[in-house]
Amino acid sequence: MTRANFVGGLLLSAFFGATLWEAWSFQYGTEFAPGPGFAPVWLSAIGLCVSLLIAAHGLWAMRGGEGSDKRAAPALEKWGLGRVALSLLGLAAMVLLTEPLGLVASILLFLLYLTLVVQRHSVAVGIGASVGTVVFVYVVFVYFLEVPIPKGPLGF
Amino acid sequence: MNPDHLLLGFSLATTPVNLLFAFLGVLLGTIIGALPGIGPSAGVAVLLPVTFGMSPVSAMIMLAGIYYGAQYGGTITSVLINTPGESSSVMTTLDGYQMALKGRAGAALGIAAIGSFIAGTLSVVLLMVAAPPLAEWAVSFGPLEYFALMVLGLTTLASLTGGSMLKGLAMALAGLLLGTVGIDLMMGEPRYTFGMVELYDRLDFLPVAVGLFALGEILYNIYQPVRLEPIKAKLSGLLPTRQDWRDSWGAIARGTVIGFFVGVLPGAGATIASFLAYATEKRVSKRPEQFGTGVIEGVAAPESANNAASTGALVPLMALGIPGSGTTAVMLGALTLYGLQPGPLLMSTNPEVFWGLVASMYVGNVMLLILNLPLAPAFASVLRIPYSVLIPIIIGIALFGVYSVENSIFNVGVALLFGGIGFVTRIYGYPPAPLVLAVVLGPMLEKALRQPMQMSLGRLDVFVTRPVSAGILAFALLAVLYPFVLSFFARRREQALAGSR
Repeated sequence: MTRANFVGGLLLSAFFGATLWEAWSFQYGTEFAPGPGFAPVWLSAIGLCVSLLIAAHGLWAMRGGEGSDKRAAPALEKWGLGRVALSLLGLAAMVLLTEPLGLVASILLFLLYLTLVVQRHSVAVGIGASVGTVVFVYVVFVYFLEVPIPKGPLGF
Repeated sequence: MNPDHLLLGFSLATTPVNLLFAFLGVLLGTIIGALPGIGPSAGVAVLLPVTFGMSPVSAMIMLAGIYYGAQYGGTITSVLINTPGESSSVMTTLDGYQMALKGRAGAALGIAAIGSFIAGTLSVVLLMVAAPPLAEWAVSFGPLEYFALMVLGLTTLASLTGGSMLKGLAMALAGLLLGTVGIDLMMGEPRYTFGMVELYDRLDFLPVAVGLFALGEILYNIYQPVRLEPIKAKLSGLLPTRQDWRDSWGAIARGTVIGFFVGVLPGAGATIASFLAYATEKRVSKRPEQFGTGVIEGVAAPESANNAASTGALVPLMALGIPGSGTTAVMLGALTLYGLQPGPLLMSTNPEVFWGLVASMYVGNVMLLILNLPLAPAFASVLRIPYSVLIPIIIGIALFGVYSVENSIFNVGVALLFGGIGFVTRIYGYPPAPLVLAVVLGPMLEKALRQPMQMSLGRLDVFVTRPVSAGILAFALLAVLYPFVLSFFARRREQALAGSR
């Protein structure tokens, strides 16, 4: 976890640095009472220190520091990462398609894509799992719980 | 304790509807526990929206059933495939799997179910005895004590979730920052909203919890598919023999006590309880060298402890309104979604919620014993369903559920974002529970920080002016410093040993 800790620490530092930057624009407080910026400034500042410590630990371990965590970061498997990226892309597309197609149709399309394209199930398993899931959630949420959902041109 | 309260609880818990929800909860919990890759936190978060049409009592009965039912289910995978269904079942793999290899899988599952039942039932008695006086005492707590308690919960969870303490702290701080998103309730100033109207009313905790706990874990399983290969064990002889009883009763008793008290501590939870119970059992055993080779007390102790701990964790949640783990944080969020005010007054303003839950846990533990003894082979057969087939089902329920909280597609996008973050943090060893707990506690913590400071004209030392808050904050500081002090002394000892050689 040496290099991964270093990079992870730096990324977290960037996050906390950005939140600290933004927090300066909030009112820190009056003379006697903390304002809306008080907690964000302190949390970001402490977070920045903690994440810099994580990065420093990682750097120290990379240089062979005594007593450091010298375990190697897990080797990332590129096909696995590809499947995750495809799944996230599919999820993002599903969110974008909800308005024009409706929630049920967009989730059904996403599940078909996930099972048939990403997971490479057989057509029967993919269609069965996707349609079965959508029918189940439709019955529970729309029929029983009466959740109003965005509907598409097909009326669901 | 007023017996009328318990009677009220049983009158609620034994209605046909609540019996059905208790049964559904423990059944789903057992299945969730049996499946590696989805834990009780994810299970409770994903299924929370399904409870929206129910009364708060029924909903809490079902969600708690999932929580403690998962502790039973985790054993099945530990024994049959040497993979813990839950992190709290890790210790069970050591002797449970060895017992299965020796043809005693049935005995391992049987003693786990019976030990879990005894521990679960006794710890409900302890919950019933401990929580009401604690709540009564906590009624006098002000923002100072609450601030201190929440800080303690977050620091202990960050330091005890395993792995790096710094990573746990970073996740907790990120969660607290996410908790500040939205319009500041005291001054009306928008914070971190970036012009998005959806963020004005704070970031909902459920999309964050579902994203980190469920979608993150599922993406990890898409990245590295789980292959379950249960050993072909004959699940006969589920009832323990006289010798099994003699070997296990002490382990069950000690596991129950350790589990409950560790569960009450914020942040400690079922995993640490099972580790401690196993270590204690090994220490007091007359045959410590045989641990890890398939001794029955090696299964009885951790299984009793993890069940007792899941009940113990309900003490701070119900008595103080302060969760100590990821799952109880989701349950706290659920209470607020049902319009209840969690905290010490909950037991007096809504006694039906606490006492209905307590009574349902007695009933639920009996249901789990019945489910897990004769039906253990049926649950074992769940492991034969390829996990990849379950993935679309879990995602479908999660997405619909997240949408239904606010009827907002924006929330689905938030869950997706946190799913991606959950995947990355899973790979690099950043624990998600402190972040979710901090998102839930964040707004309460900030209020409890600013109110006393406002009243004391901006003095920070106001937090150590009362003995209870000062004492709790000192514990919190110890929780942060303890791992560093421990590692410092370990290094000094190593250096001393190396020098003496």
